[in-house]
Amino acid sequence: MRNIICAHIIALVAVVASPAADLKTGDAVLDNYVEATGGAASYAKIHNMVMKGSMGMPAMGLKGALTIYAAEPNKISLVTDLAGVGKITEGSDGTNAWSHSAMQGPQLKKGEELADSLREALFLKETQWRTVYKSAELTGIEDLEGKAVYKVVLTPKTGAPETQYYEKATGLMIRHQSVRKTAFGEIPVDVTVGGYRKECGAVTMPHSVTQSVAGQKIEMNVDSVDCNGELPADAFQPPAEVKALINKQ
Amino acid sequence: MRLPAILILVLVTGGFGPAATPLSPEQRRLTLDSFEYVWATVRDKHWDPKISGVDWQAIHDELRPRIEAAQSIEEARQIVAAMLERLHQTHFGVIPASAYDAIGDSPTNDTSNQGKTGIELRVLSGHAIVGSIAQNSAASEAGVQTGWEVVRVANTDIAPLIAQIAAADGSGRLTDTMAARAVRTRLDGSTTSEVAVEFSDISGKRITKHLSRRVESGDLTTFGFLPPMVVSFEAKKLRGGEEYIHFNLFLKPDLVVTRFGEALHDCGHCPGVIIDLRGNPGGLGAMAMGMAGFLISQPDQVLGTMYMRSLPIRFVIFPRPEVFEGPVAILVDGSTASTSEIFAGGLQDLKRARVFGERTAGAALPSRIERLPNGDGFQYAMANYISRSGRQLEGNGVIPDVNVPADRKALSEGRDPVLEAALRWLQTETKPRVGAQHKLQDGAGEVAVVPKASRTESRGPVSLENPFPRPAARLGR
Repeated sequence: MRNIICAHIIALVAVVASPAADLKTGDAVLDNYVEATGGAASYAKIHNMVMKGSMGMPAMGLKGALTIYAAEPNKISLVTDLAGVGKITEGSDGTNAWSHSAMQGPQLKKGEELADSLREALFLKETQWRTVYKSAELTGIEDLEGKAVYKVVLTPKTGAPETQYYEKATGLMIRHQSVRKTAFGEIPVDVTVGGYRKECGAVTMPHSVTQSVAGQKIEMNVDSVDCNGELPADAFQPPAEVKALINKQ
Repeated sequence: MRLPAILILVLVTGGFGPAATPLSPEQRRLTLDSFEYVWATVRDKHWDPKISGVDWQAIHDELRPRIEAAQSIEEARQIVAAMLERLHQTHFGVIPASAYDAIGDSPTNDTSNQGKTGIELRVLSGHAIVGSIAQNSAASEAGVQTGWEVVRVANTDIAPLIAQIAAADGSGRLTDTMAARAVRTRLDGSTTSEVAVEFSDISGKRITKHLSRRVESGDLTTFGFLPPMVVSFEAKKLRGGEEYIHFNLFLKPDLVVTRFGEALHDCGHCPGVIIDLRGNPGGLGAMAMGMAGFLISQPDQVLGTMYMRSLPIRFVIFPRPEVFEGPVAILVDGSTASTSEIFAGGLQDLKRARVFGERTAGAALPSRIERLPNGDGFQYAMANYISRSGRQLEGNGVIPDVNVPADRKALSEGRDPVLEAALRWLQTETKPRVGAQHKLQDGAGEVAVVPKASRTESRGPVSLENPFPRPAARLGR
């Protein structure tokens, strides 16, 4: 499920917050974690990012390398190279969104799937979430695996609502759930986030993501994060086959 | 992800394994854990919450005491396999841990257990017949000929082996496939080892050949917990200008899908493409979608739908920028299985390809392989698959548009009636254009390969031979 890989991006680039107490609204939960983890000013200093690490499906014995390039305002490229599968690329240049692999060929995303991908590609989504979501509703405080969490339902301007869970004690987002409308069908995605460490000077980021989709667990671990460096000139260029599809439009 | 139904062999031939190894206390614990893991996985992940109507709990309760009393790893493995057999479905099975011995830090370099004779088998009316012989193989150099029956491999008489498999396969629909695989595993062995094979030619004359196994041509590849396998791809122009494509597995997409696209590109305005899926047991289901994208230009088309317990997943086709729009013939047989059936059945449903040969295996359940606590691999189907037309492929298979039964006599004459039927149809679809040098006629020796100036070495060797020569031709696969 190539498109689902993109669901990780929100978690990988998310910046989390220090403990929040007595929060009454979804807006407050989201804004609070931004402020508590360095604040909007710290985010504003980051203009691009390169993350390198690994991706795998342990139950099936699949593993490989992961590289993510991301840049403002909404460019992203995620490349995995799995043994026996080869390279799978997911990306957006801010206008188009695509996936590509030798196995399945080029897909130029359309409609709601395109809107989902462009929303996920928003680089500073943590501070700019209001540009892509209509609302964030705090629906309650729940117990999630022994932790008290704020449950926040975000409704995007285009697409289906998503649910995010923020640990009350730490303010960290530890899980999010969504249903992705893809060419393959509507796919429920359940993502657990962890391994928080400070990067790029002043911002804490998650370094491990476990995604459950269609009964399979996909693990992504980030080993290194570099900010504001020089990115390859073609970092956000679509693969040739995708480019050909764009030109045919 | 779909994986080949390679484990059927394990289910059927468990009794032919090596001598039993007693269980240590730790192995006994791991074996029990593995039994419970297998049982719970089927309970929780089988696409049908009712598990196809079997009383899964009762099966557990019946077999648990037997697994507790098992005296060897092999016996325990057979009990787990027996439990899975109660499902009467393909793509459930156990891979012995020893199958992974070759997997190390550099699995793709380890070819020590990849010795092959070059013989591809067809099981016809309970007889193992040489259907094709790989070029430059031990069998081709020893003069083995298509149409010969394999009577004995080393110390194993083949007729009782096939009879035993037929008896175990209650439905009978997979007997030929399972028997072919069982014989093949006896032909295969460690690289450079030798195996004595007794044949019977069409007249009944017995011939014994000593074949030195060697690594077959192709790329050794691994995918997750699937044991290492050699992937080969062949594309060549036939004398009428038709493009002939054959590959043995839907694995290693960077090789197979890429070369498939190159072959279609080379075909250009040629009279048509023949995709030979005979003997192809499948592989990665997603590759069927990716390869169909070279043949379908209309967006939002699907080959079929995979139904898991929780959700359906469409096998959607993403058209490539360059699509081959000429006629397509697909060759199938009873050993065409899994992803091969998804590909052939979907394109048939879309009216994009005409299918020639025999009904396929009907073994088309999307599956996964995981490792058990005791080190064995465990393959389980986690979804059902319905082709675009609404047809369930499992148990039914793909029914060819043009049924061409396997024919030992034709094989012995070096002919390939399935290929011939496909070529005849292509002639009716379009007049030969680019690359067409000779008009096709029926019969051996009248369809030949012509060189392709644009082909490069990286795409594999180009045979300039007639596709029907004996003994090195690939026929009746």
